[in-house]
Amino acid sequence: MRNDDVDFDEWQQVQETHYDHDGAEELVTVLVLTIAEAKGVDPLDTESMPPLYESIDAAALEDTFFGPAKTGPTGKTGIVTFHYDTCKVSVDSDGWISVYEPQ
Amino acid sequence: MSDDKPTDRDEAANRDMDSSPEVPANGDRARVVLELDDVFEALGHARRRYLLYTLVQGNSEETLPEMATKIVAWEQEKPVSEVTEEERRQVQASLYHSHVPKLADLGVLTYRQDENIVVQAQNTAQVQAVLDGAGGELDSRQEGHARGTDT
Repeated sequence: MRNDDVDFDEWQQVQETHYDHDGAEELVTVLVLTIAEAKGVDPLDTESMPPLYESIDAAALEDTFFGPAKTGPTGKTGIVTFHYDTCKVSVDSDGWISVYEPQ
Repeated sequence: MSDDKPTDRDEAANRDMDSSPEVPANGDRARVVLELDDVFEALGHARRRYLLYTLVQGNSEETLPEMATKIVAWEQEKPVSEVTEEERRQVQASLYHSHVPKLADLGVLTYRQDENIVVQAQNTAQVQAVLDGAGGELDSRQEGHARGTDT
């Protein structure tokens, strides 16, 4: 799905991951690992990785797009884009996570 | 939450959690309902419940890595000694970036960043009381895990 909230004159995509909501880990974990990889830092380094919760409630976002874990695909469509530290991050309801940095 | 009103909130906090909720005399029903919303928000995710079990068991100060290790062991039904570094780090990431801040916002715990520990807070006991009442029926397997022998 095209993301109309990202101006690609200003931002470039630096990392992309697909979140499998039937997998073992929560959306927040995959988000944090993806962002940390984009920034080249340790995801548990509190200095360079402020709590994601200050930017977004990832558990609520997970419920919004991916529903309770026990059920199958939700059929919802949409993208949520938010700021985290110096990045922009988008989560597509199809599971694709993108991390953008300023050009 | 506004602090200037006297306090149905204090009364509700002191009220015996096992009794049925009473609507405060002045009709300030909204505050009582919101409080229960917060309680169930706190309890509404398995990892947050595991966090709470850890918080209220014996040792009331746990480091985040220690909690993460215990939670992996519970979730995967294996001994603590078999928890891998990667598994622990993944759970620790979800605690630090989602569950701990949420519970801190709800006054259920306090996170001390410099020591990387989690301690009880103002609303811990209240949420624990609700969990004690509901846990046995809703999720006996999880409760059995968490309250069973420490492995």
